[in-house]
Amino acid sequence: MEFRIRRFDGENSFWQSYEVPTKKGMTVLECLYYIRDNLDSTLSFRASCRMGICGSCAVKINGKPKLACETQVSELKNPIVVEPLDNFKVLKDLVVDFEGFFAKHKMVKPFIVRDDIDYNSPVELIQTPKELAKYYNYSLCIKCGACVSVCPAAATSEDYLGPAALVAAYRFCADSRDKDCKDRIEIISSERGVWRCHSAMACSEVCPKKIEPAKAVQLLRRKAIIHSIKKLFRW
Amino acid sequence: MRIMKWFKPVSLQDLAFAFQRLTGFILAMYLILHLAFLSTLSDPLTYESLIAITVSPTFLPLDSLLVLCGIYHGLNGIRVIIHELGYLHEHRKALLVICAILTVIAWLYATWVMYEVV
Amino acid sequence: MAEKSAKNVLEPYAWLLQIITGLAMVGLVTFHFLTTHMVEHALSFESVSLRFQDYGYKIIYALLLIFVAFHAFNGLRAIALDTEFGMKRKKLVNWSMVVVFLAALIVGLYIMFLF
Repeated sequence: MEFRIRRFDGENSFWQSYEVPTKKGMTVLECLYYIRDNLDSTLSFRASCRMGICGSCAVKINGKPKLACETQVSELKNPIVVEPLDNFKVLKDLVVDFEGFFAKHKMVKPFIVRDDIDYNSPVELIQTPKELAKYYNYSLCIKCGACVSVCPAAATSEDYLGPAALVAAYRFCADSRDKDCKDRIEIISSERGVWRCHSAMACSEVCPKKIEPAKAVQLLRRKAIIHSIKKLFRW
Repeated sequence: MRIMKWFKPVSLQDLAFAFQRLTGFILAMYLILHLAFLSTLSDPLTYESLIAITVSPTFLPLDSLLVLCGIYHGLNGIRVIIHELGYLHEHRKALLVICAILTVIAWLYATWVMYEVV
Repeated sequence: MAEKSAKNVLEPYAWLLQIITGLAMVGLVTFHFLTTHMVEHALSFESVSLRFQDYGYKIIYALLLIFVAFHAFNGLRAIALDTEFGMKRKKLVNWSMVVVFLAALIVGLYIMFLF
């Protein structure tokens, strides 16, 4: 099968085609490895776990962002067009800059905040299955960046927190063990936060883990609204 | 232009968003035009001569397209509000189809009303 | 700090009002369409001035004017702030939309009080 890959050498962007002998069961990632090992050792791409857990190999395949390791070539039309993710700065070939992506992730405090943790005498934090169900789905995010790459708001606003970071914010706000969501709400309700989302829902459409980032953003927006109304009346 | 990325959808969902933005912009521009037009009400003669031009069979197709923009923006807006309040995300495709069907029906009805009266 | 609280007040309430005005307008715009299209010669000067002399119509049209102006210019504001260009000029965008909104209200009310 023909692989048409959009390449970038630091200065110029150009298309290059490779003929890859494919067989049933092969993934796009395996083909990228084949190209690098046998046809062109200068081709750069990111990959790690090869099993849809690490989120490193998200690329645009035939126009839609997908995990290369979870995309079967037999499901695709010839030629297979592979491009780097949109809305990210391309560093080389299929490798994009995730620095800003992770910086935004850090901004929303993606960890449980409590003031009663005693490391000398640790205790279990009990949680019912019902409480777990409230955020479990959103904890499956692998930070692949597919959602951000299709988000129309992220396309024109570089500092918009983006669906991935907002999912992380909601995941911890909805966790019964977390005791301080207020800080996170302040961060996500800035003008670079939830208000930039206009429910295009492209993120939910492309998420390889089907975690509905758009829904998380709306639920977070609900929390932000309640928070600002409470603040207005000083509850 | 980076704003062109608003109009490069990857799915039906963000195609609906692109149209929402486009129709919203058109309607906002029409609002300005509409208010400017109605300012001529201070002079009945000017108003009557302008209305004779705009309320005519040649103008009807344009009027009908404007109504389509309005109906789409309104119905799709209700759909977006439902989602923005956090509901029915799992049924978003069905909701989109219902919204499209209702838009067409309402538009055909509105266009029929307009042609009947003129 | 002042800027922080300002943005936290403006954005949530703008969003909430956008939804409320949007829903109200579905009814009001439909009413507006039907009154101007269901009756023959509804747009002649005579019928328009007759409608505007009725207080019920006046109130409905005043509401429609406020809602539609807010919805339209807040919508344009959101579109502008979605771009880096607009976000860098946030204050200018916000204030110019306030000015245009008020101008639309003044023009609209002027038209209504012609009768």
